[in-house]
Amino acid sequence: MTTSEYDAKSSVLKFHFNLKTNHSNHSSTVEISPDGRYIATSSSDKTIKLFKLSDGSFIRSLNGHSKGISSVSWSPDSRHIASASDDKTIKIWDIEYGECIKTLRGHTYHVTCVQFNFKGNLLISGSADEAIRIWDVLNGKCLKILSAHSEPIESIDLCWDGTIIASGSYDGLIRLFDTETGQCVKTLIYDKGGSSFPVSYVKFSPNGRYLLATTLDNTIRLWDYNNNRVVKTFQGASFEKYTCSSRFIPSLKTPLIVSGSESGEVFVWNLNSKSITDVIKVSDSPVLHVDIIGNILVSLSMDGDINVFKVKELNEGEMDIDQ
Amino acid sequence: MGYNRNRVQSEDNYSDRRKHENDYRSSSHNSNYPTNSYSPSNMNRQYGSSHSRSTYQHQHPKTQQDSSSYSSHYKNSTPPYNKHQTYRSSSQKYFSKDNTLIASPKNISRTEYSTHDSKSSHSSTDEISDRRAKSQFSNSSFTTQKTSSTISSTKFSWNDSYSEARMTPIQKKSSVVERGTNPNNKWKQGTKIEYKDQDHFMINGKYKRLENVLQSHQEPFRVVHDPQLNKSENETKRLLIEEKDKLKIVKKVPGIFTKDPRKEINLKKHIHSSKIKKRVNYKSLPIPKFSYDDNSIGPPPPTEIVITGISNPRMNTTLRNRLPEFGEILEFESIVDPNNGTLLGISRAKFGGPTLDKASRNAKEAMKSLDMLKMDGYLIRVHLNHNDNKILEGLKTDIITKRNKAKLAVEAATAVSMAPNAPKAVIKKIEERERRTFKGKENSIINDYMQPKRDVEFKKTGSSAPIKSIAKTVSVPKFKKSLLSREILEEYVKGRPHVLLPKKFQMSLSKEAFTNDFAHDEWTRVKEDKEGLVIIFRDLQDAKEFFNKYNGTKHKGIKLLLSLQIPENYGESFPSLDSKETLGDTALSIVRELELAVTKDIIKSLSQVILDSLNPENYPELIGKIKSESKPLIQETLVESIELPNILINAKKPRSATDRLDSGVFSLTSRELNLPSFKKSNNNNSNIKKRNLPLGYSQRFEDDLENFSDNEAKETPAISTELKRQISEDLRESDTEAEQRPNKKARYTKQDVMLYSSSSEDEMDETEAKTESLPTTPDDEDRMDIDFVGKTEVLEEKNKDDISAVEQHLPEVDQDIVIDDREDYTGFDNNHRPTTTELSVTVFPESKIDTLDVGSLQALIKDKEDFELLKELSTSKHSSRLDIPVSYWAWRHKDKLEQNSQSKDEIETLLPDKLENSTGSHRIEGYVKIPDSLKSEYLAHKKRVHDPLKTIQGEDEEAEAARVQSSRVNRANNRRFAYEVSNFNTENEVLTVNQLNKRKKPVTFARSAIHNWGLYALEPIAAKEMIIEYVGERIRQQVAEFREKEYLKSGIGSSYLFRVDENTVIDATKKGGIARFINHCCVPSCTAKIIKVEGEKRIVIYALRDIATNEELTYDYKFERETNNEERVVCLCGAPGCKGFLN
Repeated sequence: MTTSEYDAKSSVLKFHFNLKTNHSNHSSTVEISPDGRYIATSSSDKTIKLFKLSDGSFIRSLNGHSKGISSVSWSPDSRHIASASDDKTIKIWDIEYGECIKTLRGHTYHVTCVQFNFKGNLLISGSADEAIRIWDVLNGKCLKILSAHSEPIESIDLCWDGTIIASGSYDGLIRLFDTETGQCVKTLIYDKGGSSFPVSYVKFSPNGRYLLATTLDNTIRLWDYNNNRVVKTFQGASFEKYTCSSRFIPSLKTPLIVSGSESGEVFVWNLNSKSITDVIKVSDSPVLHVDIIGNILVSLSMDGDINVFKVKELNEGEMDIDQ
Repeated sequence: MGYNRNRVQSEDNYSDRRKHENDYRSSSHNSNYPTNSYSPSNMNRQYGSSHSRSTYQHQHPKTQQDSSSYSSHYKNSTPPYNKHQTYRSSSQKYFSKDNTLIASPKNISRTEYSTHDSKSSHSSTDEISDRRAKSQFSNSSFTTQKTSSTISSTKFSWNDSYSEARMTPIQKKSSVVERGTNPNNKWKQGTKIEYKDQDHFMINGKYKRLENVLQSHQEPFRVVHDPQLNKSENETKRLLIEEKDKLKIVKKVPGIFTKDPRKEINLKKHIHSSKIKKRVNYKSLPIPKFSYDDNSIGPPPPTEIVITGISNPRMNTTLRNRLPEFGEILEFESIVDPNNGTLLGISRAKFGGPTLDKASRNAKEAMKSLDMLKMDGYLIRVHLNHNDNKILEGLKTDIITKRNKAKLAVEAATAVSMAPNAPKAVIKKIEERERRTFKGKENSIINDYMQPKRDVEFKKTGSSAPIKSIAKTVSVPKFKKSLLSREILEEYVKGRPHVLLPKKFQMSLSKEAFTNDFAHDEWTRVKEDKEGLVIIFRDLQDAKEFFNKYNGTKHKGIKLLLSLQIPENYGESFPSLDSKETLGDTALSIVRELELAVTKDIIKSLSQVILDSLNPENYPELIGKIKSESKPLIQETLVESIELPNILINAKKPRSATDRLDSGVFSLTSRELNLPSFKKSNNNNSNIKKRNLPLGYSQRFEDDLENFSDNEAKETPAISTELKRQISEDLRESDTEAEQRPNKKARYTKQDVMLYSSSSEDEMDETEAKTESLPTTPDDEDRMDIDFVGKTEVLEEKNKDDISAVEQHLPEVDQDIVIDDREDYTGFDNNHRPTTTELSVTVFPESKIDTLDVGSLQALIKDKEDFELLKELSTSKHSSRLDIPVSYWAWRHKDKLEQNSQSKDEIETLLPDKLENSTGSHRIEGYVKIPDSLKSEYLAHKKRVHDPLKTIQGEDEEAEAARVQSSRVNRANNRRFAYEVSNFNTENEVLTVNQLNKRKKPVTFARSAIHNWGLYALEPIAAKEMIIEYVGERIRQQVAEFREKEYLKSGIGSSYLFRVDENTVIDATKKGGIARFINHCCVPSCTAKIIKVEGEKRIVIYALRDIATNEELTYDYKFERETNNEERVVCLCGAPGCKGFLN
């Protein structure tokens, strides 16, 4: 892993350790449990693997899906994982026993993304059948179906209090829904007369007022959705085919965002100045997922490599963030 | 506004100024003082003008002079004056618009200036003004700087024209360069000098500091004292001004020479700008006006006005609309008669404003202009509400007394219909009244009533609230005259309060419909009459409740405009009767109440005795006999054998009541006693259940039954509601004490009463049968039957597999019969009350279990008792031991079942291979564009399933029944709505109503099989009915062409342009209605027509054929045939007969 052209000492990310997931097929997502103890990785080999975050030791693997898994999500109590699979089902697993305790059926095509809400009673799932479903976790019943897209939904996210669902789809629309009623309250299209590119990833900011959207035209945009405008545009990383996730790094004085890219690099931008703070090449295959908790950053590349970084504060004298 | 307060209370700001004045005054006191004061110098003029503008008017002479002395800094030696000056009256000359002082050659002709002396000595105003005018800028075109904000801030006035008085120190505004005498004067003629602030001047556009200016001047003067700079209060230094020529030194003068500057006013006049009023010369001291604030004593200035003589709410509205022209309105209230809520024709308006004084002034203005105004032919009077609202109160009481007199004069009950706001009701009332007069009924009354014309009119519209006022609309009728025919009155109404739903408004509400819909309300009878629907109540309270609840509300599309009719002299609280009569009445009512109380007591005490006497233990033989016989017989004999002593019940009780009461009192079932009972199969439909009633009710609420005397009927209404409540409460209490019963809420409904009391056929059908669970509640009761609960049997066979067996099993009367002293079953909810059916009924609907598993067992248990029984069962029998915790086992069990059931329903369909991801998961696949043709494989709506894919769907959602309204109702509603809207737009068009919207059918947009989004019908639509209007931007032909190109350029492939006629097109691309979602089909279900509404051509979509629910609406776009083959758009409608292309 090399850091290209950016000074090591100015880097925000400090490499911690590497971890091989040994998935037999490509891996798609890595998620850190809310309590910070485990990481779960999902893969096309139909399994979910659990590791300990502190040292990277393997805990167990969860089997049960009949097709590859696109995404996983932790429940807030860190005891359950929901997984979205190509077999049109969502399975909820118990971590301790390693068993699937519920299967949610209803989607008619691949389920692409899942999210628990902060309370853990609802599960939101987006699917390639252009529908978003809201599930009641306890019963396993689907509460609502929101069909408002015309292409597969690639990513969904909930704001911190769970009232707004943001969905990004290949049709280029970012739609915001009210969780309670299911009504679409807003549609964000970055459309300057041309066609809009597929949106591959959406993420709410920690304060819920902004939305980070990755589109397959190699840009990440920060939307102020209340005022319907793009406030920041981040470029430099390449996104043209794959869904590379992005995250906010809130733990620092200077706000940063981090994202994977198709070139196998982890990009870190300064949020305000939009300048690239860090580029760390972690692998040759696209870095499909990054996740962050506290000051620990985990990145997953498609070949199954996990790299754990520590995020450190930029010191005074270092290359900074031009204001 | 008002007096310059600073004069009275010294303020820091002011002190300086005052000192200033003093300075000036003192200095000016030297009358020989050279012409400085009148030199065409800056300050003087400046102050003059500024002061005048700023209304330092009273001070002016002195100050001006003083200021002039001050200004002597800027001028040279004094020029000689002429005593007589040509007077320039037009002040325009002296102050230009932009108020910069411009020195001009004409300006200073010293000869024109009068002496200071002469100034002071003259007393004629004219001369003063002359002099002032002259002194300042006689021929000159001097101008002073426009009073800036500081000047304006120093306003205070002697009269009302100036609203504020705030003292700020005197400030120089701008200076004039008086050129002239000093040859050293650097400043040329024409130098513009402007005062900027304390330290700076703008000379010829450049900023210069004061000191610099002065220095550069090398003028033979220097600033000795600048009052602005030296602002200390205690300064006693005086101006020391040296004059080159005169060598006049003003010595330090310790004292303050105070002359009343106001007196000087008469002496001097100075030039005002034309904008300022000419100052009035006061012969006497002007009266200061103080603005009202926290420190003021006395009442605040009145800001309210009271308007009387408002005869109708329309006037009210007009007034309300007119008032804002006088100022901001804080409150507007129409005064209402506290007794009966009618409008008194008085309104109160409170004005607001930036200050209290302003508000008060506004009020005064309003009063002045509106008083004695004839509005709509009626004279209105407006008064200021002084004296703490006394005026208002006074007026109020006046009118109220007048009214009362009028009312008293009107002896017979007059009908004031209670219809609410709707104007129709008003019209109706008027019609009614007319009809009545026509009919010749109560002519005299009407005449009387009609005489105070305004009042009547007012009363007519009495309770209808004007739109914007705060009037309370609840009006309680005092006397009414019913419209109903005599027969109805006699036969049915019988002097009870009733509510009339006039025929006009009755519409589809038939008697049956009414009884069904309003089954839960507490009415006694409903009768259909040619006048309408008559709903009769037991008493006023009920009538009022019903009326208040439903009046004006919409019920199934019918607006209920009821009229509450109370017969004359109806019992309660109206003080209109003679005192003697009232005494008698009250005495009567007291007596009655006492009666009731006494009977209640008797019941209580006796019941205990009776119960004891009826204790089965005392009658072993009887019990034995009973046991051996079959149930129905037993019950009958029992019933007959035990007779309730008549003292407990009024003699004239109907049979039915007695029976019921018997059974009520002597309920022979009791839980503790394990009496056998019947279990009944669920007969939900046929049984009419009559509830048992407590004694008290039966006494109180007999009306229709002929058995009852009129007395009793009359008695009942007179009982105060409080007492009733009390009695029932007491009864209830006694019940709950009597036994340990699980808490069941008392829900005694009037329906029960009605059920109970009327045995006539009318009301039979109004009851609903309810089921009760027999085995569980001991108070199951039947009029004819007595249930015996076979406890042992039930308990043992709680497992309901055997329930059916038990049902058939005849009960055994194996226990003693204990009389339950409960009479009142109000303590229990409907399910648990005694039934009066033939067979007993279970409380909850029974459920059969097919399989004995956890789920179904759980479903079996309906209440606590069931649970207890089950517990007993399960513990008694053999219980297997589980290795795993029970809860987990149970959950597992259930889950498995669920999954099994699920998997039965769902067959996991495998998607065709081409849809599967080769890489294994969607994420890994990356972005792949799936062609539409493949999408139909997995997208439900693409498959053209009949149900459109709703944008938001809930699982297992039941189809919402569309609210079907009769078209007549609809039209009426729409008309009413349009009328109300037009009323709302009194002057300006605030709201617009699109008429066509009223005819719109419920349709919705959803994902479409044809293309993206489509419009679907939510209810069946008949052929040739209008569905929706195609709404959009109305644009010209040329604009449309232009836009079309634009849209194509920007990538909007769909065309939403719809042609109205040759020259207009409706464009719904960016703005429009949901009709834009209708897709094209070669075999359409709808068609478009152009109709004219309100003079405008509109596009409306009509149905060509019958359209089913959830069917997509389509119509033929009728695009022109495109010659260019590439431009042809493929049609995706998929209909048989599809032409293949859109154009």
